[in-house]
Amino acid sequence: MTMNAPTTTPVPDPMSDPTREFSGNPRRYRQIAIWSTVGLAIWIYGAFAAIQYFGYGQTWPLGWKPLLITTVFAIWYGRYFYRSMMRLDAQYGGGGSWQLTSRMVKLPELRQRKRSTPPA
Amino acid sequence: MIGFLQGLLAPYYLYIKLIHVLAMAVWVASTAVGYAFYLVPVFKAWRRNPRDPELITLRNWVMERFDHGVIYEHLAFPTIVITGPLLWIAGGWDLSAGWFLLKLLIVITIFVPMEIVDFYVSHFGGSKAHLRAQGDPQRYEQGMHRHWWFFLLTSAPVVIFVVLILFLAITKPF
Repeated sequence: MTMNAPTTTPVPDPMSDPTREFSGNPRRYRQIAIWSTVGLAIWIYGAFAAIQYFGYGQTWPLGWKPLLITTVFAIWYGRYFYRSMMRLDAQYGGGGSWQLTSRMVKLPELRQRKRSTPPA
Repeated sequence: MIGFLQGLLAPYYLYIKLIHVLAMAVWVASTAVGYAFYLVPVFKAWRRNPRDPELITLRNWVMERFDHGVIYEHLAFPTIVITGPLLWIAGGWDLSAGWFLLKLLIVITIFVPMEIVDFYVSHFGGSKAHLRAQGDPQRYEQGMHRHWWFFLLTSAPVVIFVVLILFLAITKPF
């Protein structure tokens, strides 16, 4: 049995603007990953150490081990964050493990609720 | 006042914890399959073929369904935000407990702002159904791009910091 290919020309959803380019790119992802990781690490470590030290007199957060753990975590996390954005945004590879199959389908859509107008 | 509340809530500590943990499970997992196996493949295909009319139609549909499907997550998060402080009071914790302070900093710094933005882009002014009803294709497209930016920026932090706060809450390592 052979399946007939759809003969109609696909009509784009009128609620879209294909001419508008998405503004994400690898350079922006790299900058976001680096600076957000640096900011996050400084803020969370700083706030943690300050509250523990000034609030409760704890000095252990100021030692070399918490600083080393924070630094190693930040380096690993920044790299992971960058690679996550790149992978999600299809910046790696050519998508060769997927194929695009054209099909005619009906998409279930919710009806817009009609709001009753208040009496004048 | 805190002492009074603590006395009032302490007998119910485990019941509040049950609700908190259930809400946490819904918050963490309710959108995972839809996101990873439906939304992301469609958006990746769109990013590789940004002018394909069929992919744009599917992209719009899948995002509008996702806006709707994220309701469970957005019922769970306020439940966590309410039961968390109740547990704090009932359990008598204070910020000298390192695990608790770090968890609180992560929640306040990362998850509360993230969920505020998520509420907006999914249900309020940024909801795609809302933008569609306005009938302006450019604003709709802008809203779609904004939501994709939201996912790009939050996916990695969600994975890492959810695991971290669960680790801190369960093992209480310091």
